Amino acid sequence: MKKELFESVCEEKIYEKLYQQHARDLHDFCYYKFGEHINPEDKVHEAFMKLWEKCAQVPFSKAKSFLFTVVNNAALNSIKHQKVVLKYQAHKPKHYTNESPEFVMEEQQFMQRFEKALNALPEGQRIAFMLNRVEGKKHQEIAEMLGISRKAVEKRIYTALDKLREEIKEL
Amino acid sequence: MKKENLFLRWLDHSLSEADRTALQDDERFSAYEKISQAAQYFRAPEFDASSSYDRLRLKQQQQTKVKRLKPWRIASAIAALFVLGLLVVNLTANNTTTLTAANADRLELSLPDASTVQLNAGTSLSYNEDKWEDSRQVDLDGEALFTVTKGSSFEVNTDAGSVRVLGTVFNVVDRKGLFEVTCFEGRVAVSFPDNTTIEIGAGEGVRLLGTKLNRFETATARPSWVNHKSIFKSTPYKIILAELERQYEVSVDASTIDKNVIFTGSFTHEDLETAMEAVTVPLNLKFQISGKKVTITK
Repeated sequence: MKKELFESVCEEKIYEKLYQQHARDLHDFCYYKFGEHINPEDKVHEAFMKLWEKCAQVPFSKAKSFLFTVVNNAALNSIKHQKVVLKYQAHKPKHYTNESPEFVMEEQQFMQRFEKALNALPEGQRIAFMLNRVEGKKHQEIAEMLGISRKAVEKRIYTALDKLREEIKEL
Repeated sequence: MKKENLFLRWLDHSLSEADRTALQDDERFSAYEKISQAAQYFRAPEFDASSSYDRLRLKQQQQTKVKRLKPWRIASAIAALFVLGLLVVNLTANNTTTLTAANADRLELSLPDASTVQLNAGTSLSYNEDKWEDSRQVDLDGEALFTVTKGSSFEVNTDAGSVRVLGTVFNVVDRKGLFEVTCFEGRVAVSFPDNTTIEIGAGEGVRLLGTKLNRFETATARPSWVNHKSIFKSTPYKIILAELERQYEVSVDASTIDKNVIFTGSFTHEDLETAMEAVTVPLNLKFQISGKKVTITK
């Protein structure tokens, strides 16, 4: 109980510590939520600026959920109706040059199809799926980030996986 | 262990190596793995928390700095107090309130119903406080941006026409020879002395230049002067010069040139020299500033 009194978010050291702890997760979360159209770092900065303004009202223990709530509620009017787009990253893990042209073409088709299906997922499912599969987050961690139950997270990931499986099955 | 449980563990990154072999030949599992691999290509960009934190602090410092470095805020507060004083005097005399933004000044004020008005330089606005409850009416001479709260109809009267709205954001210009209304939100009805009425929606405008009436479209969310800039499209040069005089409180002598030439361009309100260059260079004109006097020649 006493501890909380000392860990005031208004203290710069604590504030920085919170940044080190959560900024990356917030950044990834924003990226999977909004896609390519916005700079996720800007959204992280906005959330932290809001936290700084309200640092007196937000206790340290509530800071994490405060930050994620701010980011999650961020409605981007201008891009609301734009489709979220996650794109291939330049740093592809591996590339074999000695593959047959047919194989390369099939791979390309597969990735195109995958990209489409991934972008077509509902926002909530996509975020949970990407945080779990790509960022290696556990279900409980994702549940805390999204402010939903662990069961709901599992369901979202499963649904996303099965939808993607249906899509690629047809190839 | 049931397969469903194994899947769940695998998805929660807590499947042991031994259990993993049990899934190895499962068709669904290999599909899931393929999906997992493909998803890696869509990873979020790299993020370095330390350098990002520095950028955040920099942003925050700049914000507070900007707030501190605005001496004109104090000046405008004093001006507002002065106007408030005038307002009290006015109220005791009769209930018509007149507010004026002098040349090279501007004023932001709230009306009794919490609607707000921003007056551009050299603009006056008056309204009758007693009758406000029954009819929201203001008289305008100059240029102003209105943000009207929802309610009964709100009317802006000028010599050249009137604008009637229910609740919206719009800009009205009533300058010598130019009457212009731009609507940024909602809808407004513009009436002219000859009883014609034109309705315009958000992003549209109507302009009466001399006797010529035309409609136009705008992509901006607010008039340019709010951002300390004046932008003109196909406007007679004399109107641009008049605006320049108001913004910088200077007198412009351009007796040797044709002031009816049509000009499209903009000038800043923050630096006279830059502004003069912006309005003279495109027309191949020269200018000279001496104190409060500016001379434009060929």
